[in-house]
Formats: sequence, C-alpha cells, structure tokens
Amino acid sequence: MPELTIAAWILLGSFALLLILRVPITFALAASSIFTAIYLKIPLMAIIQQMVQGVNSFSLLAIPFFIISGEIMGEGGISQRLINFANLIVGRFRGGLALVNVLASMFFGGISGSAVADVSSIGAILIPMMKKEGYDSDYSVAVTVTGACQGILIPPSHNMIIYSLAAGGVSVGRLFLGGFIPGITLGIVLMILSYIIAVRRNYPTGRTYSFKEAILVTKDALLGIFTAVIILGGVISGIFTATESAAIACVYAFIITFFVYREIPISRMSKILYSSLRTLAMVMSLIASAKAFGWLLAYLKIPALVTASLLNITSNPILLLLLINGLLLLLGCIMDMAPLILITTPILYPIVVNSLGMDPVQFGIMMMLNLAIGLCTPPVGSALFVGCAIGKIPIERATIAMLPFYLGMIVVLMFVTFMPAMSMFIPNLLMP
Amino acid sequence: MDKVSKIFGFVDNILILLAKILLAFMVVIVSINVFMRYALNTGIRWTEEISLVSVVWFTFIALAHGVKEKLHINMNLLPSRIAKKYEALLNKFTDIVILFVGYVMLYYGIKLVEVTSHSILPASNLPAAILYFPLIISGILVILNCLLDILGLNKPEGGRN
Repeated sequence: MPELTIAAWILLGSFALLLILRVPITFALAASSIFTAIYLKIPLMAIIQQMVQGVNSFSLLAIPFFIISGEIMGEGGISQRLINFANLIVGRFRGGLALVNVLASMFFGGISGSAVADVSSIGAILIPMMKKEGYDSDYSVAVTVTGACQGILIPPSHNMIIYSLAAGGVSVGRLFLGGFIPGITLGIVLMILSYIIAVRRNYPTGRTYSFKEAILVTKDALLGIFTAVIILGGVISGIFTATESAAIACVYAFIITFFVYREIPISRMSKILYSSLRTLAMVMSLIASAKAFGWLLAYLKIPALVTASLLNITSNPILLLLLINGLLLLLGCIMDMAPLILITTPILYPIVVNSLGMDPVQFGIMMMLNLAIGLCTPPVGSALFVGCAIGKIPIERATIAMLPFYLGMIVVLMFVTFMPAMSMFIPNLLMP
Repeated sequence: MDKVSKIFGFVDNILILLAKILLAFMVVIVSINVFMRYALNTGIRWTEEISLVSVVWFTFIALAHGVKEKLHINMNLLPSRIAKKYEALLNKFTDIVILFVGYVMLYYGIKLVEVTSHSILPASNLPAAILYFPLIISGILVILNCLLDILGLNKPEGGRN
C-alpha cells in the first residue's frame, strides 16, 4: 500500500476509534492528526502551528461576539419580551402558545443563533406555561425543540461563520441573507403543523392584548430585535465586516440590557462572560484542532478521494444530492453541529460545489438545515436533550411527538436542496 | 494532595479572570476601531493584530479550562451496558489521550516560542512568540488537569464562577 493511503487510514481510523472510545471530539481530532504526522514524518511543530492558525483569524472573532451578545440578551430578559411580542401576533389563534413558541424562536434566532440557548431560554418559560394551559407535555417539547432548530437558519448564526471558515471564505453576508427564506419557510411549515395538531386536540386559544399593552410589548421586543438589524444592515451595506457588526451588537445588547431593560445589575456581566466562555471553550478548541485535521485531510487528498468514490456510485446529480443529504442527516443524528461542519465541509465541498455546481451559499444553507434537524434527533441531539430535561419527559416520548415535525423539516430540506432560488434569491438581490 | 488541587484551582481562577477580560477587551477594541474609522476617519492599525493575539490566548486558556470542567463534547456510540461496565477504564483512556495532546502542545509550544523569539508582529511590534506562548500555559494546565483527574482529585465546579 502506498504511504499516503496508509496515512489516510491512520488519520480516519484512529479518529473513529478515539471517538468510539469516548474521547472528546477536539482531542480525537488533535491526537489522530498527531499520529498521522508522526507516521508521515511531518514535523509536529507544523501540526501545533496549524492549531494556532485555526483560531488566528479576524473573521472568526465574530463567533465569540455573537455568543456574548446572545448571552447578554438572554440573561437580560429578552426571551420574555420576544414571547410577549409573538403572543401579540399569533397568540389569539387555536394552539396560540405553540404558534407563539415557534415565532418567538424565529425572533430569538435573529439574536442568538444557538438552538440550545433558544430551547433553554424560550423553553424554560413556554413549556411550563403550555403544560399549565392543558397542552400535552410531549407536544410542548416537540414544538419548542423543532422551533429552536429553525433559528439556526435565521441570520445571524455563528454556525454559518464556522461554515464560511471551513469552506475557505464564503461571504458571511451572503450566507446570512441566504438563510432568510428557508428559515422563514421552515417556521411557517412548523406553525401550520402545530396549528393542525392543536385544532385536532382542541388546545386553548391564547390571550389578547389591549392597544396600550400592544404598543409597549412591540417597543420592548423591537429594541431587542434591532440587534439583528444592526448586524445584517452593517454587513449588507458594507459599513462594517461581520466581525465588527458582531462587536457593535455586543455593545448594543449591553446598553439595552443594562440601561434600558434594567432587569439585572451590571455585576451580572461577570457571569455572562463566564457562561460565554464555557460555550466558547468547546467551539474554539474544536476550530483549532479541526484546522490541523483539515490540513492533513487536504495533504492526503482525501476530499478528492471521497469525490471520486461518490461519483463512482452514481453520477446522477439528484441521487448524489439525496445521498449527501442522507449522509449529513445520519451524521447529524450522532454528532453535534459545530464539529460536523468543521469535518464534513472540506470533504464534501469539492463534490457539491465543484462537481455538481451548487453555489457555496446554497450548500451552506443545506448543510445548516441538515445539521439543525440532527440537533433534534436522538441518539445525540443537544436541543432535544435540553427540551426533554425542561419538559421532564423521556427522549423516546418526545421523539414520537416530533415525527410530524421531522417530516415537515425534511420537506423543506428537499426544497432547499433542489430549489436554488430559495437560498439564492435574496443574496443575489442585495449582495450580488 | 488536597492542597495541590486548591492551588491549582486558584491558578485556574486567575486564568478564567484573564480570559473574561480578554473577551470584553476584544469587543471593546474592535468597536472602538469602527468608531474611530467613521467618526474620526482614522482606523488604528494594530487593533486587528491585538485582537487576534487575544483570541489565541483566550482559546487556549478556555481549552485547558474545558478539560478541567469536562466541557469538551464526546460521543456516546458505545452501547450503554458496555460503557457502564468499563466506565473507569474509558475515563482513564480519555485522560491519557488528552495528556498526550497536552504534552505535544507544551513541547512544541516551547519550540515555537524559541523559533519565533526573534521576529516581531508587523503592525503592533509585539514579539511574534506571544502568539505561541499560550500553548505552553495551556499545555501545562491540560497535563496537570489530566493528572489530577487520573488521581481522582479533579472536581469540576459546574459553572459556579
């Protein structure tokens, strides 16, 4: 066997083995890269240097900034305000709280972009509220979890920045814009599904608001949603880069939370920074070690090998895309979002973008949706786990209640995959 | 031995404080740079470089803290019956793998610092070695964390900070 083939087996084989033996993904990536480098007699200094280079990038700074602004807003009581606002719009219909749940997640996605943060903050308020009003708990959890995953497509989303880095610099602005129509479509599909179920089970309607209340609720929520406007407006108009807009969003979130909403004392910033750190510890370390791993993948020409063998199975583009979607869904069921973006993007990008001619933006959106579905499927679905913990129901029960929603998500995924206009229309219109 | 983990917790707390300051600092200098560019028509050239040094320091401090607090996600692919039976063994194995990575980070971190000690970063004139120095701190902490874990002395705080 040629040296490079053996090296490829060492890299992928030791990585898989370490994962099975429950080594954290970050260290499985680093260790398998180190083993491979030792075999190839590549100086280990180069591997370590790649790890540092992985995080030594200005566009990557947007990730900590988005996480911080999301944490500030979450801690400062934005969730309740978004819920109130959603309640004002859709609360009056049958199954009102379910619709409120999905819509509030859509707004929340415009601020945070983390599905887990979404479930834990929106879910913590709405799941107990829904149960009290007579909704079944499995239904409440299912709506919350699927609703939260839709937030990943709604810009801004730090996962899109991870993708943009892994894909070698796809425009973050175009990716953000690309998520709009798919995200809103998914939200509408989820709302229709929850409405149908709500009517059949005769769930209650929500409350109505007086005109005076309505003004107040709208003002409060719009102040928060304005974060998204700053980020998107800044990036689209070219006033600032994605990173700069994310920093400005942090400053804005800080001002709104501590000087306008004033629900928490400014000393809470220490806790907010610490919880950002806890989230970032995992994401940033992954980015560092995935850089070394990706460097070796490219060195060993593994993406080209995968492309060749996939094209060997079939050269029909429709079948290939279905195959790739299936693969991503399957991987999404067993692995978390950030590591999957980092590992699969360099491998699948050549075939999807170079061979099949899909736009990198559309591929990004397709991948986000695939992995978002993965966040709410067992056995590994962080959004699902959090939702079940809040709703105090076993994962199996939630999964069964989610079946109609999974179906809706897959249908939207097919549209995103085979209808380029869905992801490309707005970016081409606003940032050609 | 309890003293060791106490001293170690103290060091960890100081580094966490540093990491939190770095986070806030990055937000502030990037925002100030935007403000300067539009309000005063002059950007500061070294802000980008300084924020990059900060994010590298932050990442490697957070990486080591993540080892202590077990924040790095893993996968549960093993059937739970087997996983339960060999729980202790699997944890030791994970510790050894992380220890190995920590050792490589430390050893080659020192080498990288040596190699780059004579060059400077172009915009800020800081020594280029500053970019690789956190590898040494992180490597030491990761190794210590793993050793404490193997000896059963590590107690994750679960976000009490």
